[in-house]
Amino acid sequence: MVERPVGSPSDEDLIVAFQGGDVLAFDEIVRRYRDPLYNFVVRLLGDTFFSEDVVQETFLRVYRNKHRYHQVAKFSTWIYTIASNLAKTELRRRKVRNFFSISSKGEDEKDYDLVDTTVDIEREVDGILKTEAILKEIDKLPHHFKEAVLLRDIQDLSYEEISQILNVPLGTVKSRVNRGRSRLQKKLGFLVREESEGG
Amino acid sequence: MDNEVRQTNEMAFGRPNDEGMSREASRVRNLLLGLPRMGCPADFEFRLQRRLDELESGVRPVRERHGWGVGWAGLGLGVATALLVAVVLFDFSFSSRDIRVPGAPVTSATNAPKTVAPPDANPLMVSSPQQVSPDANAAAVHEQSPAMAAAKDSNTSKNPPTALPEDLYHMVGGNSP
Repeated sequence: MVERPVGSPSDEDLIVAFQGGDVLAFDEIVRRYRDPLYNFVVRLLGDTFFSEDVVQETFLRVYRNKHRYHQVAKFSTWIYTIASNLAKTELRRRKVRNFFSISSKGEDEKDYDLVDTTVDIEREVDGILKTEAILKEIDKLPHHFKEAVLLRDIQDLSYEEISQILNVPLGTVKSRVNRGRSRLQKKLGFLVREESEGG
Repeated sequence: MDNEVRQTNEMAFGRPNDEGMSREASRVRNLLLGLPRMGCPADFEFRLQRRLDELESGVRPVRERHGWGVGWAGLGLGVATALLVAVVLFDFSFSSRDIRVPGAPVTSATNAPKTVAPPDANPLMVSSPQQVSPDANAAAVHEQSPAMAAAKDSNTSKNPPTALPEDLYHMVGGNSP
């Protein structure tokens, strides 16, 4: 979910203002969406370099095609759809690249940049290991499950929004999210139990 | 009261339309929601601004140019490979083959006998290495085939070998005087 201060213009107001030529409105859109989009794409691709490129390309598309947005859909749905499609394209390219090259990186060596939040080393290490374990399992999910789970449980979007972004029926989204969660639950059983014991 | 329950539900099970989700699933959801948030790199906006400026000034984005370059390189590589395959398959190398006129009998140029006369050739014309005098030649012809000896030469203007002018000696093989 993209947070905005109370009383500030909505995303839809901003894109309408940008369509009217207000470039500052575009800057505000970038400020609001850069981190949520980046977080989503990094989790989807598991790579920071290409994720930044995908997010930049998303904003460039918004900039170039601003007149294609119509207020029938939420702006967040539109921008996430663009980012999601670009990420899929990147994944397809990656498959081709992997087919033609022998990667020096193994499956377990992904570029996850972890946020430095704690001072307590033990807790920090514990947190990092836990995060890595979760991310690894998310990465192993089939793409359509992964995408649905990320949008629902990491980006915290509603099922209706996800349905529009992925262009699939609402029931399908719910099913994908549930099946994705259930797979994660099986794989991360020990963490899930810890979570319930911890509160 | 109802509001309190709804808030508690939302805290435990996420947003309202996740109602009915199992406890285990809600724990997975909480784990995922608790993952650290990734932020864009510090120079993200600077790079985006540069790309927007390029877009405004009509310069094709680097990514796009790169794509075209790769496309042309791929095309070139494809054509080169096709040519190579064609050469290997059809063997256009003339050096290893005989060049011959279509319809001509198959003979090997390198193995062709150079000094052996065809079997139906006149033995008088080629087989004798020493010089034969015109009179002896005529007698031999008369002896072998009287009809051929009696027949007149149709080419009347032809110079007899003995009457070849001096300035045409160089056209005849052998030692010129």
